[in-house]
Amino acid sequence: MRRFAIPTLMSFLLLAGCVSVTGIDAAKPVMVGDGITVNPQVAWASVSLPNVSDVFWTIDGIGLDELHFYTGIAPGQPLMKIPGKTAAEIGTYAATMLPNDVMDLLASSLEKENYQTVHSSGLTPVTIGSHAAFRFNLTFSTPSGLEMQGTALAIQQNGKLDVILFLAPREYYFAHCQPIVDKIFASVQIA
Amino acid sequence: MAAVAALLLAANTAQALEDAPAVGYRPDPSTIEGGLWMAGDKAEQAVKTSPQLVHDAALNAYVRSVVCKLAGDQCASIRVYIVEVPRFNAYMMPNGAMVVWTGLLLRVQNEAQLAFILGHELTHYLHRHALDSMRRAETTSSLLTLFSVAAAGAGVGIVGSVANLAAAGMLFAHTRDQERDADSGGFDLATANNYDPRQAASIWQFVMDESHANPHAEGRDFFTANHPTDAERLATLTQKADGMAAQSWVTNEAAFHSQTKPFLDRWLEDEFNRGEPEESVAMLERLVAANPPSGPLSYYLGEAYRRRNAAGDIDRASNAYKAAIATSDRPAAAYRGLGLLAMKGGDKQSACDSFTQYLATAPEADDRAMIQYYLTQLQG
Repeated sequence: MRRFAIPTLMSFLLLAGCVSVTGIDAAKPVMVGDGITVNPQVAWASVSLPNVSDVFWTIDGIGLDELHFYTGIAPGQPLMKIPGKTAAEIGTYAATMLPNDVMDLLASSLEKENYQTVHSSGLTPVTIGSHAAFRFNLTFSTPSGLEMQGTALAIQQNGKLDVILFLAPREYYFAHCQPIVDKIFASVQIA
Repeated sequence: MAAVAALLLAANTAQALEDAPAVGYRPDPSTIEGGLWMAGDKAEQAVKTSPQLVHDAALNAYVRSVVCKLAGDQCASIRVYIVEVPRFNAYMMPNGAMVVWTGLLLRVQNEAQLAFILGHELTHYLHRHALDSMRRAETTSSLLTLFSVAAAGAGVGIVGSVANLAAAGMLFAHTRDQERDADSGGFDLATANNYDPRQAASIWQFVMDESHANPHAEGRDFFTANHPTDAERLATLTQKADGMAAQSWVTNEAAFHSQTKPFLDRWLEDEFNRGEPEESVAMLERLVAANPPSGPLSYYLGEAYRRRNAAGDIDRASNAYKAAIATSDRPAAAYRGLGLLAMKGGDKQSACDSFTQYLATAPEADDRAMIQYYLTQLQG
């Protein structure tokens, strides 16, 4: 599916003329920001959309599987920028936040991004090298009513926050990609 | 375009319809009212297939029973849909489909308040307000605009999001005079069924309180966007209530809470995740004060304080968690809330005690590993 989907996606985006797409090599580690490096495991397309702050990766296409990187979030900053909303409206990070607070912040940020009935669960500690990190899961619906699942890895270091968030439709795509995402999360290295 | 032309022709020639639709009424599809119903049918179909539709039979039967009490014989013409959206809203489609959001069910305090809102929506249908609005479209272009909006909205999964749900309501938006008429009609329907008239005004008091509590509020909520001001409604409905002769009115508070209690946790979590802690605090302070002690209400009030994090909120959150723990339906998560507050405040012993109590109360908690990690850190 990937073999056909990425060229299709690329063609669509080139026609649109307002986005940038670059290929991500499966075999080469990639620095995704704030000193964090991941091993992509498979080939991805890195997508940058207008009016959206973060760059995200996709295998099969936008909306089908998306791996977002929110890195180097300083205190007072929101996790993501949402057009038309201020940082205070979205909710901002504080260095004193515990993992529970970060999970709540991501859930409410997704609500502000127009996702519906966002529920978070399964907050679990993980270790990345000498760094403490944590994972949790999400369920929600898209603005058009599609049921989605998500899983997130969050790291708090030097007063800043890094979150890697994978989102995909509950039907087929999430389960299909989860083993790849688990390997990417396990591959995280912090400089 | 041919259909639109036929509708425009019908609009020009149609006779005024003053009476409520007869039970089982279905307008001729070639009329302007038929076109409105067609748009309603499409919007209703989207609601029916939404993942946010609440299917619980008992809750649906209860809300429908209140509608039918108010509607009498017209009950047969009304379909009621409850959708899980954590905001205060309900709307009526011209074809008899009524949509009630769970955020409304969370906010009203008793069956009487619910009845006034459902009566308001019923009045839109019984007085054919949507048709009246359509006929008031003075120019061809405005009528075309209305239909293009209806057609676009009907084609895009109307129930899929708050924005789309709101768009569905806006498809059938009414004028302020119609809203005043619906307020009055709803009041008459509810009081004719012995519901306490003072409950009508109290709805707009809490709507105002919540709205004023939020410094980021973009404007009026969906339900009231085209309505008379909340202050005007408060004054008008208070005046109407004052004019009612004293009698043994009912609120049916116990029945309402019995039906909605099973959903309280889920709706409160939805409300919490909305990320509007100022509004949540205003709503929950009101509900906690107005209801018998409730573990979930007090717990989420504590969560809302913790999220709002204004001056004094740590103490308020702590007190709310403790109040939740003192109830018979104490949520285990209240212990976790206390533990998180204590951990942030540097009170390691209290944090350990609360986390330990949490794990003892909820041994299967899905965040057990995280809490054990906190304990390890606190004890290290």
